Formats: sequence, structure tokens, C-alpha cells
Amino acid sequence: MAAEPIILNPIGWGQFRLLGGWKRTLGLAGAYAGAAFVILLLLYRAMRADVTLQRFASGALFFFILIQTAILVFIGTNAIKRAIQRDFTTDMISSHRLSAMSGYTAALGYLTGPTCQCVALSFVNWIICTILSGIAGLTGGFSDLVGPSLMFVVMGCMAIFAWSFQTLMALCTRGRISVVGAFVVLGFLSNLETVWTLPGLALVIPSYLVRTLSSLQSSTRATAQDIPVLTSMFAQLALSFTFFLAAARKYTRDDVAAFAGPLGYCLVALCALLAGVGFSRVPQTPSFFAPRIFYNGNVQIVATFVALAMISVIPVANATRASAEWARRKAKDPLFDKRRPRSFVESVLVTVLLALGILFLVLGKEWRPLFADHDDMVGREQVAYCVTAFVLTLLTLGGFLRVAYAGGTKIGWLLVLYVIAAWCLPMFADFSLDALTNPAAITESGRSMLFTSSPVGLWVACCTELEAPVVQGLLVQAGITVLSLALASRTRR
Amino acid sequence: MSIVLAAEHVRVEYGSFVALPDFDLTLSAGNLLGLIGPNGAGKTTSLKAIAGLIPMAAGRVNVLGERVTPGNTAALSRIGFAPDTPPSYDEMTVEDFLRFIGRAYRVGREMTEERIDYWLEQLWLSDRRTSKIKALSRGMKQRLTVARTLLPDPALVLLDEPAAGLDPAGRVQFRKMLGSLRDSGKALIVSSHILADLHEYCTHIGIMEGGKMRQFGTVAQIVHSQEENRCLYDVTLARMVPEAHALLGEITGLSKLDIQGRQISFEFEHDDEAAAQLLARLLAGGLPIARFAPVDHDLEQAYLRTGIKQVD
Repeated sequence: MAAEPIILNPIGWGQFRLLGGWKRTLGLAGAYAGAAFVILLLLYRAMRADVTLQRFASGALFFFILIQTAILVFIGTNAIKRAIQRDFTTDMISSHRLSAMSGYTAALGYLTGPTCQCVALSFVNWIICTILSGIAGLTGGFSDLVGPSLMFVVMGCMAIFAWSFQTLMALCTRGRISVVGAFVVLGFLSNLETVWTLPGLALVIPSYLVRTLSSLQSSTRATAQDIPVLTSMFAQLALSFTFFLAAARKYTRDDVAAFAGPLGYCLVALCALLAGVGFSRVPQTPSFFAPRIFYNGNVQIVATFVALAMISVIPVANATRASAEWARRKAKDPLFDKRRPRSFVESVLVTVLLALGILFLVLGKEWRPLFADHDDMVGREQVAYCVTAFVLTLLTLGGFLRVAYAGGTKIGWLLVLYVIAAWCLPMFADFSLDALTNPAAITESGRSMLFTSSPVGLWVACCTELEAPVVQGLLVQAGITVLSLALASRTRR
Repeated sequence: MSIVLAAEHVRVEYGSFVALPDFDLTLSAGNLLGLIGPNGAGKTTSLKAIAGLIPMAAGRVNVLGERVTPGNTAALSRIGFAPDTPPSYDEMTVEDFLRFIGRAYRVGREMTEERIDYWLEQLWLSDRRTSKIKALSRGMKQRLTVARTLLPDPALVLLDEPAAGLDPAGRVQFRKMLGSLRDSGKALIVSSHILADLHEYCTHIGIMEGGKMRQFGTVAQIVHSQEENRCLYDVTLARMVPEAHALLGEITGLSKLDIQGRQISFEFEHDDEAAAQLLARLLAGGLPIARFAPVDHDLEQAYLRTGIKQVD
């Protein structure tokens, strides 16, 4: 008879058994604790005589927090990826799907089972860090971020965020993609503080960890008052919950859309909320690594528009897919009696309302400084142009996606192509033409209609002091939108 | 008898390739359907579509009145599906793997242990209880997959090539087990190329080709489906005779003539008097006949009579 399982979730229990169960988990934790003790002892004995125990403990604490981050981000996410990949390659996923397990149970199992050894190691690390911070005299009150318990709670939120994102990505890609790379890049960006260009993103990545580590090195204290820790933790947990729900949907079958229906709108709404909150929560203190441009409100709002537009593609793409699938099924299935889904145009309008409505609602009166002064535009005009460009770009994309889905085309490359062709190329072409015709005045002259025919170019023109023909650019964008909607309406399949 | 499975107008597409154009199937409790057909006929696809593992372009599948859709565990958990390549966790022991399945299907702990004992006994795996799955032979893994499929006590059992890795004794045992499952009121579909076995335990046979059900009926209906008064004859000559083809070709009522060296087969009237006259005529024609025998009606003959060329 097997030992009584603590993990009641079937997949969690199965993965725990596959990792060797209690025997190996406790053995690993014990071996790790022993090795850490021996290494610390040897290192301390090898230190110069003038290094005090307090300084040594402070340095060791820094090292163990790094180790802990690596365990959570690298080992934890990889364990989840490997577990899901194995279920796909052995086709155990089909076995799970035929069982009485709901998607939520399965997603929870993937979160808890493969990561059980990481949790055990984290517990050991917590004990080590508590002892070390006691020796270093860093154990403060609740607000003291260097206090190991709060630090571990903070890192726990980060782990839940990384693991739920990994679960979703692995279920979407049959376990092929690891999110570790993305977290490494974000970690670097966070360290360089360039991430503040997009305040909402800065809020969900553990940038405060970097600051805390820096403060440890400089023997100063980072506190919860200094850094928006609680907001960040809420953001991470809220996004984690959304990813978890999406993963539960995706688990049921490969062709099921992860963010279909209300969940897609929830994701957009949440991202808009975080984007808005990010503006008031991120530190506005330029440093050597992060020059003033990263803290420039005009740049930040453009980056926020771009990011929100990209996220808004998710519900719009789901709506176009549902519409195309409905038409295809209706044509082939005599028994099909499902109601026609709402038009993707409605989805675009709802998405824009959620994305920009929430963003401006959260910004409140703080929106005005984010838009640079223009001679020919007042603030509300600038916002109206930006919103119009936002609507047009989603409508255009929706039209093209509807055509692509009707033809059964994979949309990944289409999205990349669209972003290159409609967002980047016009701006690049405008700069190139200027460089060829008038290289001396390239930085001084205003931009042409080509520049504002890209939605990104238009947002840049509206939000910064750059001079460019906004209305003409909008007209070009509207023309492309009409073309895409005409193509979509002609699609009959 | 209550209807367990109702699949209507099921259509499955892989991109532009239509694997199942329009598949219908109804099975009641106690029905055991043998699906036969060449590779690529759509047998596995139809089983996967019934199990809700692949998306359908059209149609619907109901199991015990519950619609099979992604995430509808009420319907999905009533289906037991054993694919031809057995999925398992190779690092787990046999009993741990079955315990895992018991948990996944919310079978109580005591009931799980009871069923593990029962199915390991039934499938000759009791002595392998604590072995790791990776140490099992292919046949044992196949039996474990069957145990895994039957442990949650599903109402509809789908078995894709279940006997492929079994030894002769295992096949005999397996046939008996399928018979008892059929008699216990489960609905079963077995896809197999071992037609002699299917003939023995199936209540129904479906012959598939190109994603379509070419023939469907009870075993008796399928076996005697075509020209009941005709039968296949096997003839062996003592030596090769070049004129054999011309001589046999002249005989009225003889069809589907096939000559492979000294072996000749053809269809002719299933009547002793007619057979005796035919034999006399062949001997008079100078054919050195070493063996002349009508072949009894069986599933293999029925399958060959359909004219489906590709044989595995």
C-alpha cells in the first residue's frame, strides 16, 4: 500500500509519485540543507579575519535569495513544462481528458505536482534565510522587505505567476515552449530599469526583487512603503488566476480557445487596469541605466497603447474564429443548431471600451500630462484620434482574421505579418525616404502621412511633440479598414 | 435494450483531408461491434471522434444521452478508450498507475484497490503489481492499458487493436474477457485485424473503407450478406497447367477466379451436386487436381468479398 498522499489532486499526486514521492522529496531537501550548511561553514572559515559574521550573513542571504529565485523561476517552470510535454508525447493527456477530472483540477495538478520538490527546497531556503537575516540583524517588522518571511511571500506570488503562465503556455503549445527565456529577458530589463517604459509591465514583473537585492548589497533597507509591493502582488495573483482559468479551458482539448468569450475580455480589462495603475505606482527616479526617456509619460502612454492593442487582439481573434467556425459548421452540419455568434465588430467595440475605458478611468485627471502639447490639437482631440486609431486597427485585424479563419489558415504568421506591414513598415519607410531625400534634417522635420498611416506612428504623433498629419493618416487607416471589412463580408464558408 | 452510443453524421477533417465524411453508429448495451478495414479506413479516427478526443467538423455523439463535448466529464468519464499505442507513465509501478487512474475517475480508495486486484488477476498481471511499467513487455503493457480502461467501469468501451501484442494464450483469455464484458451489458467497439477472433466474440461487424462504413450488421448478416448460395473454393493442382485459366474461364457460373501458380480460388454455387459436377468437368479437362475444397462462410471471406484491396 502506498503512503497516504497529501496531494489529493490526481495529476498532482501522479506527478509527485513520478518525482519519487516523499522519499526522494525529503531526501533532496535534507541533502540540500546539509550541503548548504557545509558550504556556508567552509566559506566562513575561509573568509578574511576582518569579515564580520554579520557581513558574511548579509552576503550569504543575498546569495540564497538568488538561489531561491532560480529554483522558483528556472526549476519550477521547467518542471511544469516537462510534465505537460511528457503527457503530450506519451498521450497521457488523452487519458486525463477522458477521466472525471475537470479542467480546473487538471490545471491545479500541473501547478502543484511537478513543483513539489521546488516547494520543499524553498522551505529549506526559508529556514536558512531566516537564520541568516537574524545573524545579519536584518529581521525587521512587517514592512521590512528584507525580512525573509515577507520576501518569501513576495517570491511565492512571483512563482505562482510564472508557473500559471507556464502551465497555460505549455498546454497551448503541447509543452514545447518554456517561459523561462521571457522571465530572464524581463529580469534583465528590470535590472536595467528600461521596463519602466511600460508601467503596467513593470508592475507585474518582480522589479522590486532587484531593488531589494540592491539594497541588501548597499546595506540599506528596502521597505514595503518604498516599493508598490502589495499592488504588484495583487497584479500577479489576478493575472495568475486568469491564466489558470485559461489553462483549465485549454486542457479540455487542443482546439478549444484558451481565452474564449468573457475570459478574453477579463484579460483585457485586467491589463488595462494594471496599465492605468502602473502610471501612479512605478518609481519616477531616473538612474544611470534608466535615462529620463524611460520615465517619459508620453513614451509610456504610446507603449501602453501598443501593448493594450496587442492584448486586445485575443478577444477579437476569438470572436472572428467563432464566427468563421459557426459559418463552416452551419454549411456542413445538418444537426447544427447553435445560435450565430455575435459579430466580431461588436467584439472590437466591447474590447476598446474595456481597454481604453478602464485605462482612462484609472488615470483620472492624470491623463493630461501624458499627451504633449500641440499647436493644432487640444488634449481631448489627441485622445479621440488615439482611440479612433485603436478601433480601426482592431477592426482591420478582425477583418483579415475572419478571412484567414474561413480559409483555415494558421493565424500566427498573419499577425506577425500584419504588425510588420501595418505598424512598423510605414514608419520605417517614412524615415527611410526622409533619410534619402533630406538626411540633414531628419531629426528636425515633421513626419509625413506615411508615418501616421501606421497606428503606432499616429499614437506617437498624438502623444509626443512630433509634427505629423494625423487626420490624413487616420483616413488612410480607415481606407484599409474598409478594405478588410469588405473582404470579411465577402467570405462565405 | 438501452442505447449507449448514438453517433450521428459525424464528420472529421484533417485540414483539407476528410477522414470521416458522414459516420453514423448506434450501439445498445450488450452490443460488441468489431470494426474492420484496411489501414487508413478511418477506424481509429472514428473511435477518437466518439471519445471526443478530436474535433468534429459536423455531427454529434451522445453517450447514455449525454453529449460528448470537450470538458463534459459526465459523458467523457463513461467512455473507456484504449488506443493502439498504450499511454502510461513508464516510471510508475503498475499498481500506482492504476491507483492514479482510480483517483482521476473519482473511484473510492477501497473500491480502487478491489478493482486493481480484480483486473490484474483477470489480465494475468498480478505478479507484476509492483513492477515499473517500463519493465513490462509490449503485451503486458497492452493488458495494462485494458485494465486501465476497464478500472473505472465505463459504459462504452473502445479498444483499438487490443490484441496486437498478445501471445496466443493471452488472446484466448482476452476473447473470454470481452465475451463476459459484452454479457455484463457494456457496449464495446473493438478495432482489429484479427478477423477470426472478431467472428467469435462480436455481435456486430462494421467494415470500413475510405472513412465510410461499407457494411454494418450482425455477424451473421455480414457473413451471409452476399449471394448466399455461392461459396469460395480452394483448388490445389499437382503441377502447374498453363491452360487452367482458359479452361476455368469457360465454365458458366464461376467468378472471381484467381490463379497463383498451383493454387486456384474462385466462387461457385454452394451446392454439393454442382460441386461434384464441376470437379468432374475439371478432371475431364485434364487438370491434375490434388485438392478441391469449398471454404466455409466466415468473416474473412465476407471481408474479402467486399473487394477491399488493401490488406494489412
